[in-house]
Amino acid sequence: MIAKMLLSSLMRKKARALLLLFSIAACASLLFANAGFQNTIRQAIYDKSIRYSGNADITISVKQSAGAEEWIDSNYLAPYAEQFEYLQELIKCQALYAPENSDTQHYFTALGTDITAFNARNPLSLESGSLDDWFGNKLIMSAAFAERLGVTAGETLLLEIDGQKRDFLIAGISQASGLFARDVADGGYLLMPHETLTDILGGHCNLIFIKSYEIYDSLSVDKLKQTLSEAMPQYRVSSSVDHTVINAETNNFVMPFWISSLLVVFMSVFIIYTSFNLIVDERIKILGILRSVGCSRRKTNHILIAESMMIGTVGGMIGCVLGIGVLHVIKSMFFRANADIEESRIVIGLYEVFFTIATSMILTVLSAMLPIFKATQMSVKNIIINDYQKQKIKSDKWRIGGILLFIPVAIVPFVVGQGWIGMLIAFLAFVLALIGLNLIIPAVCRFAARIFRNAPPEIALGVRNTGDFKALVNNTRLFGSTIAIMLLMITLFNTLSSDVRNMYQRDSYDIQMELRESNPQTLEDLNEIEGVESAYGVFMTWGTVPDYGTFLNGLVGVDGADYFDFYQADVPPETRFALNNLKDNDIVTTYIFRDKFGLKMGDTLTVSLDEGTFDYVITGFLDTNWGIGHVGYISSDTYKSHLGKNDFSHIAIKASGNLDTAKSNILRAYSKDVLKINTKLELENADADKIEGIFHAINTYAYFAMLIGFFGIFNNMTACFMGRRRNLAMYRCIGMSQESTAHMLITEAVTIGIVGALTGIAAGLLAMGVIPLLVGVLWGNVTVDVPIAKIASVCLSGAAAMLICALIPLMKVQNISIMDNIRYE
Amino acid sequence: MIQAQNIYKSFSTGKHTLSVLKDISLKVSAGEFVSLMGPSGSGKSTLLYILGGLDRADSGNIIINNKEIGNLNDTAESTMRRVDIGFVFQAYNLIDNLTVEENILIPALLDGKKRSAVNKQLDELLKAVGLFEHRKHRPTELSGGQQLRTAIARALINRPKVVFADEPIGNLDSQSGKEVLELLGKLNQQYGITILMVTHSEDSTKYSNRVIRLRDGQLV
Repeated sequence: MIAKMLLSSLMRKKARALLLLFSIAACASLLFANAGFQNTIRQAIYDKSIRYSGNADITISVKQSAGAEEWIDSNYLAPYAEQFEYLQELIKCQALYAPENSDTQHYFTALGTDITAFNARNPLSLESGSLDDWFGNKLIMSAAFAERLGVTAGETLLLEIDGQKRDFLIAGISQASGLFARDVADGGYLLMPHETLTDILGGHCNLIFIKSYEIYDSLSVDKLKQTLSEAMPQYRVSSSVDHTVINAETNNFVMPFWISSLLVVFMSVFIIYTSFNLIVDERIKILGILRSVGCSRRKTNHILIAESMMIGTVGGMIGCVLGIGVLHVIKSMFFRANADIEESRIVIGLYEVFFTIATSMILTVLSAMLPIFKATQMSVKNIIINDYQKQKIKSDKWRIGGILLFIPVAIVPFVVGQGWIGMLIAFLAFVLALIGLNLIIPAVCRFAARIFRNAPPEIALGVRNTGDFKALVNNTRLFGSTIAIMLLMITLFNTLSSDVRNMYQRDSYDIQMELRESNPQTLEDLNEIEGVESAYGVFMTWGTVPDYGTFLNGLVGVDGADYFDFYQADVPPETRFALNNLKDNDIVTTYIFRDKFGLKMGDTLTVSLDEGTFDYVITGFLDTNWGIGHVGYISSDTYKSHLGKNDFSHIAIKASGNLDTAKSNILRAYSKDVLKINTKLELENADADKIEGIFHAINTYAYFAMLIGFFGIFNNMTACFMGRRRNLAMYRCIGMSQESTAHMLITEAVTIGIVGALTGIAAGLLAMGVIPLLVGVLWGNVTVDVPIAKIASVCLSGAAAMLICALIPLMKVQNISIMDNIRYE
Repeated sequence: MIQAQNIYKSFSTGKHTLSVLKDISLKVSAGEFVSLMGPSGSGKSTLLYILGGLDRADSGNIIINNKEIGNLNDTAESTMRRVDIGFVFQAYNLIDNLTVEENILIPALLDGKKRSAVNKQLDELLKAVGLFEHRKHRPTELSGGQQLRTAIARALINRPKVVFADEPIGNLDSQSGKEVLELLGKLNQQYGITILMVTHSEDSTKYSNRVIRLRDGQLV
């Protein structure tokens, strides 16, 4: 009955209850969107990872090393056939598109396959054409390359495969999904009838995809992979999906969202706390009455906490619904970057719903506890005789503590190193700075009041009220915190964005190419070509690091530190020395790798490659976040010895003069031996989806967070007005006109805006120093890139939001009944 | 000074309409101290608020100091409340975040007066109500009687011609109540300020020149 009474009193304050509920729902929606987007990103990365293998578990291919077999004998798999749900045999080869009378030349990767089996394993979505009559000289290509070459379904394409030129009919053009999901970045695939390629190449299969009946998890895949590897050592047997890679890549993308989430939680707690404060304040009388008739303090606490749990749960549920909308917006921003990329589906499940509701409930209870305990600690007598509303003017002594709390954020960047602990300390320092900001804001408002004390009375009163009224002080605090958090988030995202975008620009090469065959003589020949300044041959592969459950997406064979004349990295002198003296199993790796896994000089790094497992001894560290910083550098001799390959993986070229001229000259000199040749800009554009998408998404997330902050202010302003009607009526009854009242309210809004913006900007600028620590462990050293224009837009949006907020009381002040409010007790 | 003719006022309480004032007509001359008495719910406070321009009558005319308040716009009405009328409320209605002297000064400052121009008058008022020593205190630091005296000083800062007091001593002990009534009587007698006071107490009426009684929304 008591609970019913409290609930009905809550429901009587419909507007307040609704605002509180919506505050919780809005915060919950961001948490939900965050959780859902992480899954969606994971799914997108997973989809990207399986674009080649579809739903197969194991991929078997021929090795690229010298002397390796050219074709796979699938008879080796006969003993295991009962375990396979399917086994698909394909032919993979290069197909050269080089129309006569044109400099255009492109090597596609052609896959000869049975189209029905292919479609079952890795579904195709044709934009035009059909899969019928799959025989003869036919092909399916991506829409991206069809547009690039200016061809449509039904036309023919002259291709050269293994020296034979044939006209292929374009039977279908595929949307950017499945195999063709990232076709530009992948260099272009062509699907052809299996028999056609057998006819041209004379072999049956050099690529096999297997799906097993019994595989349910990655451990089983590893077991089968191991068995097949041992049975067929002459071939490369690999898992189709490497969960280690997916997890590591996902974590890198998701990390900025986690940092943002923590900041959003901070903001949410503040918004919910202030809303709850108001709603409890308004019901103190009922609480006093309950206490006076024998309801114990403990019981009252329990009832109110249960009520906050219920509100948090309902808010969380509404947040899930709103979160779906937010998630759609964030996702569409993520995929907006490149229309060639297939949109991954939104992945949300019961876990996300449960997580959101539970978090929302916990945050609400935590935020509500202080107001509840404050209310129930009040003297029942004071409540009953209406002596509880006396406003206490707090002293400014807390400002000293507030200023002191800024010290950590100022000094941490200079005294703490990168790493997980550094990241944690940096985050805590920022949170302390936010608390400090909240402590000094009342003093700043009162300082402003002193400056304006001789202004016209409505102005002087307006400025003064911002320092004296708790709800207005809370508004300034919320606005300042929102600005500081936004500044940190936007700058953090901009820094990461610039870092990734600049990655290509920082590299010193101009052109990167792959040749059919290349060796040191190739480099000498290249140097003779007009427009080529210098060339460097790079050996590169990738492998896993089982001891740390991660991977190296770049194991690079280098000849001393000259590699870094072409590819940018910060190489300390001692590491340069180590690079120039790499021998046997020495390896130089990155600070990111060191910080993530706590590595040190002399540690052994076991790297598993297709060609075997090798132990390397760490002799140095350098700073690069290429390939998310999972890179190792070994000597080129060791590379050649361990992998059995002598050809360069690719060649980096510095050009002199016009890039296009240099590229044409190289193409002319090497003609059909060029497998791939791209300028740095072309490579950057091909990778644009990866670079831009995530940053569009995180920026959208940041703006949603800002929206939530402003909603909190709107909410507070409205609630604050409701609580101040009596105060405003008092002014009116002693002769303050509506116009003067409006001036006072506008002054309050402007003061909140100015004080909040200035203190928020100050705290945000100070906090930017911790950004390298917040992201260093995953992204390496970053240079903080402050987006002045975006910050200005945030501040302007803030100013606009404050004006909108000011309109609420302005609109309502016209309708205030002086008598009703004066008599209200 | 105050003239009300055929005042009607009713309130809607959901399904029902409650007539609070029924055809009230009265006159209060300049310099009078009038007590408005009646049982709870008789409509005396409502009448006071309507006469003071804090609420509107459903019908009827009110003239204060030769001004028909029904015809005034918000600015003129606010000016009248600031300059011609002073209010004293049972709940004091002081602004908690302002000091005693700031509370008293607000109507003068809102009227465009410079602080320096009213400082002398402020000091006089503070002394007159016995709060000079407490001028820097906030309302929450004062007793009920002191708060009421602050409210009286605030009502007088612009030298109004009439003061409306709504049960001013309702929350005070008898000694403090007596002091406040004596103060109001002194203001009436020494400065000729017209006072219209709502009260429950017969004892309070001895300070007034005339008593108007209300019952069920009608003059008795």
